Amino acid sequence: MKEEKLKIFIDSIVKYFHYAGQTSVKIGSPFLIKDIKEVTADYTGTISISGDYQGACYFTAPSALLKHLILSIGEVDTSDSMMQDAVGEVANTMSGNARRRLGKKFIISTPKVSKGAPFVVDKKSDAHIYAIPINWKSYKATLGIHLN
Amino acid sequence: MLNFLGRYTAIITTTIVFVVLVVGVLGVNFNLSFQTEANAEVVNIAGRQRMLSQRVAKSLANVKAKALSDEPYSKPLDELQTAAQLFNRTLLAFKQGGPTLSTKSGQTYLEPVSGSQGEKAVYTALQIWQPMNGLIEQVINQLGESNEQASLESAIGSLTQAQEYADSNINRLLKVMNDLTNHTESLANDAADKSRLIQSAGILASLLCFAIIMYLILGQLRASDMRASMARRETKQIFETVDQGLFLVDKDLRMGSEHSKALESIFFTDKFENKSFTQFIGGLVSASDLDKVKRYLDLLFDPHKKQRLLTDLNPLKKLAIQVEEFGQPRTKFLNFSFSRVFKDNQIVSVLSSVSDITKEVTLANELELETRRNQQQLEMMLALMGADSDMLPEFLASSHGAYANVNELLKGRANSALEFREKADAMMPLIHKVKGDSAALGLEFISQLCHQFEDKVQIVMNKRDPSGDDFLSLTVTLEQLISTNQQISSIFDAIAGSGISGGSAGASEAETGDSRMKLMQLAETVSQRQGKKVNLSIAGFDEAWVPAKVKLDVVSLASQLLRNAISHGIETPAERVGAGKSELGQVTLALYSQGAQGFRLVCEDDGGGVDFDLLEEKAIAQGLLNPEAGGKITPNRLVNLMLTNALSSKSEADEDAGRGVGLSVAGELVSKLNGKLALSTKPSIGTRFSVRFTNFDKGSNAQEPMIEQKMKGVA
Repeated sequence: MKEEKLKIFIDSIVKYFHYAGQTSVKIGSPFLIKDIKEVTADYTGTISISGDYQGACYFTAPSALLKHLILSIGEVDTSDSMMQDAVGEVANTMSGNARRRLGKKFIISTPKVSKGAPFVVDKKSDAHIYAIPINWKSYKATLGIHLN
Repeated sequence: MLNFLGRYTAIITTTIVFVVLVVGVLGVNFNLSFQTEANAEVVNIAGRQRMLSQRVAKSLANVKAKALSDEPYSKPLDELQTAAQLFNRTLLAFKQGGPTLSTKSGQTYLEPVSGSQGEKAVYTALQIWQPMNGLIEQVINQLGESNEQASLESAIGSLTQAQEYADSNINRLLKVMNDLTNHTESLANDAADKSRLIQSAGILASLLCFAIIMYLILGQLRASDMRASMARRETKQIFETVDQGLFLVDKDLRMGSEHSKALESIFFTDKFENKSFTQFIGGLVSASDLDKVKRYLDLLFDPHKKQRLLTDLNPLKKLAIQVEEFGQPRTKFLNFSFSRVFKDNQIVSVLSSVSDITKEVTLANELELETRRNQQQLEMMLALMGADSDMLPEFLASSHGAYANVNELLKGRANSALEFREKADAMMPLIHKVKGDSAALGLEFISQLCHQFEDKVQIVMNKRDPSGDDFLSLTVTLEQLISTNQQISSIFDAIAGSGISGGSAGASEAETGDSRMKLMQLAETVSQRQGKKVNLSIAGFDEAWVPAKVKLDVVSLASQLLRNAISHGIETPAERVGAGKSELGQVTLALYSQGAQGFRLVCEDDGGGVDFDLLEEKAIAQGLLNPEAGGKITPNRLVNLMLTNALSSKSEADEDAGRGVGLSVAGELVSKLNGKLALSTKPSIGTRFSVRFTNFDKGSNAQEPMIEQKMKGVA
């Protein structure tokens, strides 16, 4: 059950990059972390999940990846706000897909975008976050998910 | 209606009186205006009498003068006649009432003059006038009859007589007529005064009535205002105090102007007035749910649908919405209920109440979760109660380390299918050891999870082109294993804290009675799963001395060897019968002290023995051996492969064996404890593993392994 739900978020990311760029992403083997800050890159989009399940979904990416992503979709402005928009858009796509596919038992928020320290959704201290490496071209972003 | 009339009786009565008064005043005024006009006419007629008396006298003089001068006198005679007749007629009308010529035009009717002064004046005037009138009539008759000289002379005589009478009485008559005029004027003035008085009284009464009406109306308004104000105040107090969010929805599905304060705290807004309810609720539910809500609202306004039925159909009984509190997302559960509001038997609106049932729902969910968790914990606790409390911390520590290592392996970067496969391969022994350890402790639920993990690893290994997302399933199982460990830790702490002890709690480190029981259970479980019949003999586990620190490893090693003996060594009952053996396979596990600082573990079975040909075939197939590369493939070499590489003689993996990991883990344990393993095997006779451990100091109770000799393989 949990695996299926995690896959929904992973699939959303894969599809997003598939449509955005010429090169598909490669998913690394997922591992467990206790704190999203262990994998936080320059920009992070956070979606909170509530309803029957509680948790969060993070997409965190370095600025180099975001710059390349912006340029690959034909934009020339790689300013800070554009990079925030880009990470927000990825998170937003995930949020939309998840909302559509997970059904009404999941309440998916609109994304919160941050530069540097991410917006962290509270969780139990011993709960784990699934860190899923997203490798695109030579860059590495991470998808972080925790669901209780 | 009657209530309404009752409440306003005073106002209605006063208003009727007011209207009657106004109409009365108007009527009186109308009447008096006629009376005044009539009185003025009387005064004018009285005044005309004065003028007529003078004209009669003057006409008499004119007639006489004309007659004496022999001039035509008909005109003055007519004037005399007209004046005398009008005077006479009018005077008689004053006396007894009757018609006379109006001063304006036509005829008018005079009432007999009233009042003593008037009556006296008329009476006196008649006294004076009647003789004079007789003389005048005589003159008129005489002059009007013929023009004879005799008659004329006679008429002149009458004229003279009339003139003399007039000369001597005309002033008196004038005065009397003057008195009559004054009297009629006085009467007219009195009537006018009276009229003003009546009008003033009427107007005053009307004003008074009006004032009373105003007073009553204002009083009523003030009372109504006070009632309305009190009602508003009470409504406001109710709206501010009630816990539920209350508001009305009209037929157009618009929200009303009033709502309770709680509604604002539920939705964090106060903008509800005239808002479309469907639009409002649309922001909280999915599109399909919104359709249900719309249909439900239509039913609410349908008078043919029963309220009780509608209560059951309510789609908003438990609506989950997400809100943010202190920067953190939070789920809120709301309960909407709807009651129809009727007016004249028509549904005019729906009273909606919203309650925040988050606490109730959360408590119910927590209760359910807690019940489930308690059930799990109870099962876990029962399992732990039977586990060796001395070995459990060691198990928790070693499994925790194994999980951390698996997680590190997952975390490590892999760029190719080979690297992914290597990563998966490296996880297998780590988890397999946990599986063996948990089985040794009787923690079946952990060994099952470990087995699932191994299955999933095998799936990754079997993939032609494994990639990162193939590991997701492994990571999920790893989290379950870690979570199970956390639960065991907390339960174990609770048991330790409560003084409840496990099967061997309080036992000395040399006592391994619980291990004996676990091994018996393991043998039973594995043999049942494998469809084999096995009789396990355990010797020495109750007496042999084993250092506490290595006890788990020793029992784990025993369980790996036992599992291997049943899975690989003992044949199926049919095979055994076919080979002329008893259906019941014999496995012996023995643990005994050896010398001052050592002990020995032996596992022996009467199975089919190691099939070296099959092992060789598998080793070649798996690329572990290359026959073309030269070198003799000895049984010793094959056993070493069994103990160090994932080589198994089983064709299919199951929960107990087949991945070649069991003996590999056993080999690692022997190596870890610096043991010396000897294996002897004979086809269809059986196999014997014997492991010797030395150099453990009983006095210090610490593990002091003496590196005497590396494992040398087959004896």
